[in-house]
Amino acid sequence: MTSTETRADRFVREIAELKIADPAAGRPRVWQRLGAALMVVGLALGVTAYLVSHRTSSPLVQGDAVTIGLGAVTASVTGGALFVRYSLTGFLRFWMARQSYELTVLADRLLEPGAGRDRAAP
Amino acid sequence: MNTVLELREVRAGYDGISVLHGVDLSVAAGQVVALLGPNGAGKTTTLRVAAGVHPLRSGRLLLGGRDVTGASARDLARAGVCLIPEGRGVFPNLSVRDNLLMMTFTGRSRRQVEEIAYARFPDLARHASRAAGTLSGGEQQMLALARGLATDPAVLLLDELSMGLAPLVVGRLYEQVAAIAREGVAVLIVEQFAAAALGIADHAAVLVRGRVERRGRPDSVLRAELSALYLGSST
Repeated sequence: MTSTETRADRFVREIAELKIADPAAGRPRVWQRLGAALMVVGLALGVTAYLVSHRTSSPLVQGDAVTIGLGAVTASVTGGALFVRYSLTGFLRFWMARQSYELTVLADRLLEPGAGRDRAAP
Repeated sequence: MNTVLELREVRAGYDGISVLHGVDLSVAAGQVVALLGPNGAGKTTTLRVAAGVHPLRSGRLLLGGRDVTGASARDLARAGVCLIPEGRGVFPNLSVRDNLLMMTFTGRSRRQVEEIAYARFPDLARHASRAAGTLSGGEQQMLALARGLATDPAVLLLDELSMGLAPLVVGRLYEQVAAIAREGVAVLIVEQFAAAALGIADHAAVLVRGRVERRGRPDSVLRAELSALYLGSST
């Protein structure tokens, strides 16, 4: 950056350098919905696995039920992770900003001249 | 002049409704462009498209000559596009200082952000500890502008800055907007209170039913046409 560079010049340069993500308006919402759907599917598969395993005495069918149950757990965990990732990001970002602010204020207070005077006094 | 923001043949809408029908608009560095028009013309949608908040159906959005159509609002904001939405957009329960703190996401320190804000709006410094919701409408709008300036914008998009404010306050705010533009910031104003916006605009465009019907310098002819448009008579 040169000292004579105007804001507009800098803007043009920064825009040219900007890595623009693939246009995907609404993609987070799709992922969030997919996450919710996977959680529901997981729940349904879990109930199905339970019912299947209790309505048979065949070890083969029960084996299938175990597989379905594991699939249910996988779907639920994946769905939950997706849902949390795309629904709470905004909130967590704000929370982190707040945490960062609190730490800065605390640091400012500790670094203020005479901050430790009371403690040092006899 | 160095064109910073450009909309080409932009079409956009909501669900099944088309709002913008091929809008062309450009703003150069240091230029103030007023986008005027009656209610429902698509002014706010145009601003939202320019800020990357609302997707285009077709057309192109160019910033600094680069096609950024489809880029996320976050990317554009990081590059220097700042939208100050209608209704001020401040956190009413947070103090003025905490509202300014929110703008440290750009990498500036709290002190730098406050210095920028208070240098431009000294009144805010006196109310630094007050909750933003207890400020007057004009002061809240100053805070919104100050928050925008703290991001070091290259493009400032202002939506109905004068809403609910006394003419005297509006005049003072627009003086600040003109000063910001003189520093090289491209300013696009959407306004129904046309007189105030035209007072500082270098260029004006009149949007009617999603189309730019008239554009040019804010001279008496344009003002007369605008009056006719608002009053519903033909000229």
